[in-house]
Amino acid sequence: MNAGPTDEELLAAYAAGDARAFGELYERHERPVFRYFLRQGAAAALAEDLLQETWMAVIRNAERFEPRAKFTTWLYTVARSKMIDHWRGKDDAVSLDDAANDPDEAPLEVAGSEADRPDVRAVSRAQARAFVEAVEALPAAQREAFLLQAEGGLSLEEIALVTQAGHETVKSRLRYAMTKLRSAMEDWE
Amino acid sequence: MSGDRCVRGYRAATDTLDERPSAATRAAILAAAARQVQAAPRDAREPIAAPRVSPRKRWPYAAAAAVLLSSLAVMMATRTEREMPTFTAPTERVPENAAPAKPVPSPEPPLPAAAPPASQEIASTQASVPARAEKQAKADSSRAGATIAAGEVKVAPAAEARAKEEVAVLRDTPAPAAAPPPSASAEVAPAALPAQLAKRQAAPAGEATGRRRNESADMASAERSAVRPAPATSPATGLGATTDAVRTEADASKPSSASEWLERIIKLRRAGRHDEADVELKRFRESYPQVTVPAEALPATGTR
Repeated sequence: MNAGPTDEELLAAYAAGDARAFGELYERHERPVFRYFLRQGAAAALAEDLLQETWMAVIRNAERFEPRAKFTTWLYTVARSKMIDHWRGKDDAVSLDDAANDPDEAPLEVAGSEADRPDVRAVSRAQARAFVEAVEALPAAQREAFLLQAEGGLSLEEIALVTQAGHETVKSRLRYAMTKLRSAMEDWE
Repeated sequence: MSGDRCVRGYRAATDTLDERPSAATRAAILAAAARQVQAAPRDAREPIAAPRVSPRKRWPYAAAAAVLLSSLAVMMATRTEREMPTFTAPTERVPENAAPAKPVPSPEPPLPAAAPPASQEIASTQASVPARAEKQAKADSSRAGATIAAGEVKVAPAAEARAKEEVAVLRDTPAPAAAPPPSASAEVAPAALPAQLAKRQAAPAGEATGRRRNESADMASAERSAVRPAPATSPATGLGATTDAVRTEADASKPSSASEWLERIIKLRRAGRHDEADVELKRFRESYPQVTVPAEALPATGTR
C-alpha cells in the first residue's frame, strides 16, 4: 500500500527522536482518520478535536508501541475509543444517524481540469455527496465496520480486533453494509 | 457490484469531497510531536538542514554585548582617571636669594695695598675655585638633568644658568669664603661643627656682643645641616630628588654659617665691592632675618 518505510518503521523512528518520520506517518493517515470521525456523525470541529486527541495519544505512547502489532489497528483502536469517550461524556447523546448530515458544510472544490467544468463538478459533487450520505445512513455497527475497511484498510480480523467483535459478526456487518450501499448507488450509476 | 467496488467508490467520493482538517490542527499536532522529541517541526519531504540562527535573532545579542562593553570601558576610564595621581608640572623655582644676572666686571678691582699676607695663597685658590665650582655646577646640572626625565620638568637650563651665576660670584670671592660643594654641605657639617665652635672661642672679645646671636644662629644652622638628610642621589627618587637638587644648588652659593657669610660681606666691603656686598647682604638677611648684622657689613650711609 505504502511505498518506502512502513508505518511501524516510521513510528519506531519517531520514537527514536526523528520528528520527520512522524510527519510522514501523519501525512499518510491524517485524512482517513478525519473522515472516519466525520462519517461517524461528528461535525468538522468535533472531528478535528477528536483527531488531535487521537494523535496526541499516539505521540505520548509511541515509545510503548510494539512493532509486532499493525500501526493502523492501533491507530483506529485509539480513534474509536476517543469517539466513544466523547459520546459517553455527553448527556444528550446524539444519534449517529441524525448527526450524519451537516447542512452547514461548505461546498468543496474538485481538483483537476475536467472537474473544473461546472456540469462535471456538479455531477461529481452530487455523486460523492450521495455516496457519503449512503454510508452515513448505515447502522452504526455496519458503518463502523465499513469505514474501518474503507478508510483504515483493515482486514476482517483487524476490524474484529478493533471493534472487539467476532470474526463472523464483522463479516455479516460488512455484507449488510455493502448490500445497502449497492442499492443506494444503483440510482445514479 | 462487489464489496471492493463499494470501497473504491467510497474512496473516490471522499477524494472528490476533499475533506481535510484545518491547518491549525495539523500544525498543533506536528508541533506537539516535535516538542516531544525536542526538535523543530518540519515537513516530512523537506531535506534535513542544519538549524541556522537568523540575523534577526542575532542583533539583540550584539546590541547587548555592545552596551555591556561600552559601559565597561567607561567604568574603567572613570576609575583610571580617579586613581591616577594628579601631576602638575612644577614651576621653575626661582631661588629667593638669586640676584639678577649681571655681567661680571671684567677688570677686577685692585686689591688694597694692605692686603693680608695670604693674598698669594688666596689668588691661587681663587684661580682653582672657579674651575672647581664650574665643574661642580656642571655636575650638578647634569645630575639634575639625569634625575628629571626628558619632558617631565624643564629645570636643567635654569640650573645651568644659576650655576654660571654662582661661578661668576665665586670668581670674585676670596678662597675662604668659597662655597663648599653643595652635596657635601650636609656631610661636612657635623665634622665642621667643633671647628667652628673653637673658632668662635678664639674670636676677639670686642666682637662678642654682636656675635653672641650669630653663634646661636650658627649653631642652629649647623644643627639643621647635620639633621638634614643627605640629598637624594638616586634618579629613581623622581620629583623629590629634583627639588632636592634644586635646593642643593641654591645652597651652594651660601656660606655654611652666618658668621662666615658676614665675614664674606665684610671682606667685600673692604675690597670696595659694595654692589656685591649689598646683594650678599640682602641674601643674608633673607636667610638669617634674626641675626644682627655688624656695622662693618652694612653699607656706608650717605657715601654711596
